[in-house]
Amino acid sequence: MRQRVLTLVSVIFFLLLLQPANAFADETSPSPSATPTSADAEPGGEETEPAGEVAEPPADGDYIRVLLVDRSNGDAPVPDVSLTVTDEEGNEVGETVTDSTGVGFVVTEGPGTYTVTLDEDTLPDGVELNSATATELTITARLGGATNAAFPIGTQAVNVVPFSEKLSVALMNGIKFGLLVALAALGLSLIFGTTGLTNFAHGELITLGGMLAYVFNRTVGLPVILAGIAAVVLSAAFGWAQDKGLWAPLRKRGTGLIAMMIVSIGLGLFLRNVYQYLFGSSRLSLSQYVTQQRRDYGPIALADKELAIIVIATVTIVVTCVVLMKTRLGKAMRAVSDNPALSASSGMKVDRVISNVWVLGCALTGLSGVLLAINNQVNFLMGFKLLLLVFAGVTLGGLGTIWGALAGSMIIGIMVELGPLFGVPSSIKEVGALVVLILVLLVRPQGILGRRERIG
Amino acid sequence: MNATTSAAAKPGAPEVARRTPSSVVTSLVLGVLGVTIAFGITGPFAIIKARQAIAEIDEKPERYEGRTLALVGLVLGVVSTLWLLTWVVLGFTAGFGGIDLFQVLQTALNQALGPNAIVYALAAIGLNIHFGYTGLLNFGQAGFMAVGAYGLAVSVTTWGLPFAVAIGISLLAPVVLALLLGVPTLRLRADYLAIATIATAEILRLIFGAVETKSVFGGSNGLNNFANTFDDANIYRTWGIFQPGGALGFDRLDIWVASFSKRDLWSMTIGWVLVALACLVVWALMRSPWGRLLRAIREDEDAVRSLGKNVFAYKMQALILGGLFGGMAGMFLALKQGSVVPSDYSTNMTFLAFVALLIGGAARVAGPVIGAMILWFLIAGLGSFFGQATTGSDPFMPTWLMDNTQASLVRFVAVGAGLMLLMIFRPQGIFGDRREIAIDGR
Repeated sequence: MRQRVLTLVSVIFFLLLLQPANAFADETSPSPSATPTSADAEPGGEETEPAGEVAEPPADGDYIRVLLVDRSNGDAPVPDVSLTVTDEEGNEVGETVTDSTGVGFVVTEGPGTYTVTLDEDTLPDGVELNSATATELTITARLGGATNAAFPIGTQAVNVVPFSEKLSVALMNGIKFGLLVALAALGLSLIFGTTGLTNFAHGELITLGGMLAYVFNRTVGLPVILAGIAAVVLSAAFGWAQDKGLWAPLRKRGTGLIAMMIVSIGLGLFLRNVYQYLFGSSRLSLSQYVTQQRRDYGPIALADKELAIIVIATVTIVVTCVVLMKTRLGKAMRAVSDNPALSASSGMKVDRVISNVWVLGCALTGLSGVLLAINNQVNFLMGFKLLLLVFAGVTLGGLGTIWGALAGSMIIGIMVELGPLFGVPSSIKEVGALVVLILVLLVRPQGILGRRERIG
Repeated sequence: MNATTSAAAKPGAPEVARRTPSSVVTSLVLGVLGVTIAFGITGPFAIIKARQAIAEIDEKPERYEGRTLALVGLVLGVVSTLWLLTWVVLGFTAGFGGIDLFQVLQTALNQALGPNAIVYALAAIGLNIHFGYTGLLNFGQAGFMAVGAYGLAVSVTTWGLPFAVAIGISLLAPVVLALLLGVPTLRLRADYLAIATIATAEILRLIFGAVETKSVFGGSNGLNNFANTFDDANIYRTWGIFQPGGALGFDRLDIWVASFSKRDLWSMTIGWVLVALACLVVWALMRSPWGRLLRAIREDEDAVRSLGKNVFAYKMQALILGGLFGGMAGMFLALKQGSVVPSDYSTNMTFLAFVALLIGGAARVAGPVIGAMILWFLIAGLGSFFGQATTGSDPFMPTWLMDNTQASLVRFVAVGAGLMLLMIFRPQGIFGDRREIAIDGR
């Protein structure tokens, strides 16, 4: 049975290798020529509107004054953009919205190094950051009082998109995000289905995939694709080791499910801080495919890496589901999940099956982290931030059901990305998904595809 | 004559495979940790465990093996204990590697008695009612704390209400939240309840911190300037007896290892009174028929239902009461730091409150209080120790291993690992009774 899992995992990787290879191949490097330094960029026009009020500096204490200027538009100030300030440990210090003169104030706790992050979603309509611009600026506040900093950005005009196009973009983003959540949710659901463990450390398994990809890519020097594969393999190995070293002994001791849940909280806390210890709190980028231009595919535009992510995730999910439905391994997993005692008495090696589930679940989750790292960046909190959405997806679909986890995650992903189009503030777009989570529990706690007896 | 026990020792009986007692492994692990990364701290425990193991093996040599390993554990334990003694003595006298252990102890004690421990004690008392007595797995205590804190801050700063009314709103808000949250979720199984409550707490935190609600909740900078009434009532400033020159006059309380400002002292006075009152309420309620019913629900919900009790109503009452203490914790946190910031009320806060509860022991009146004090003693002590070990021109800790930023993370790595070990090896905490912990799931 172990061999089968290995075969399955390797088949998935093989498919991964085949599918995206050409998609990854032609990476468009960010070239300055692609940046139209057009003078007719929007923010200059918006600035004259009397809508924006001028922010007052805080009366006393330490603060950072950030001036956001548009380099590609004659250093024009950029209003109405959200800036978030974090300290060295990644804790959020404060956030501000630039006023009509492009200035924002954030109160800080004295000298130190702060990172200002720009929320791209709040740029004026019709303007995007050009590819040469970072969304982060590091500021060192040496003395008390005010620290002034200019945050130059470059923007490029993009056509103001009609709603239908926005909808298709958001839908594609939603599908992509939903697939990433679904991979992790599949892992969570498999593990929950067979062991009954609600794993609060699951977010850290996502992060592990991303972190390992980063290590193999940056430290070892492998190309991103190989690094990703190595990361998934190691994630699977970590799944096996985690089961052998922690969960199997606990099951043997007869530890209750709630105790195991609390153990998983401890494990999550532990891993999260170890990640931060090792990698710091900044966002880290892989060496390839960081910025890519989008190409048009009929009504939708996708960067090559996005297409690759969607294809890889879809193929992996389909293969996993088919395997779970058709093979003996899948049958064994479902049998153990239904009734471990009966499975054991009919001659199945329950522990072996559970160990396989951990391997498969962690591989899927690790892959989700790798793809997330390619899509965005790597950060020690990337998985933890996703955890509740994964829970929401799994609960919406029905805990412990494979197709339910999939359907639920897709709905959650699309909902999160479509929300801002229908008036949900983009800074709290995850709230909608969490509200759905609670509403589902209220109306149909077994989820859309779950069975009633599971809710006990 | 007991036939079953003597059967195993009977000559000619089938040879039972001898096994290594778990205490051998424990002592080895503790010993190895002691001589390596734990700076000897685990040494004494390794000795205790090794002696236990040896006694166990010597008592029934026919059933156990691994005496040599236990001896190795014992030796490692002795070595690391000696190491521990050496650096503790050096640390207090000569300063060991530039680390002032007295200061470490002082920081740790200050935090164990100070306002932070009070916040977590109150939050954990609430969790104790939820989890310890009723068996409700509430992972959204941070949400209750947040509505308590924001109830106060918004009332005063945004709405301009009088302080006394604001306190009332601050106490009412968690009750309302408990009602809203309890109706859909209290009928659910434990893990669903956990997910639903954790999601609620996150929703609240996100909304409180959102840019769009900045005019009410102050965005991610939060609100301040609402605690003036509290500060003005500080008896250590206003009463003549405590002024410099008065009978008990002082500027800053300095008693050997404890050192508090007047502001902290005032917070602590109010805070410990609140904690004492909360403990009194819990003690009184839990010996009443109502409290026995809650415990019965924890043990067997169906049995209670079959006796004709409305389980849902009792769970709701427990959720409200525990949430009220959670809200009080949030309110006290807001008062003692004079500001509310949404990032304070993250999921980690709930988890830390759980750690405090589990250290002290769930389903015990004093458990959460002692637990919170121990938790903060350890957090502050570790923070101070590693902070000192990584500062200065020639830090004790090599910089490739740990820099000053990383030093502040060690304590939380330790909390995570500690929570795991605690739950595995001693889920009842220090004072609890293992039979009384609702961890076996349903």
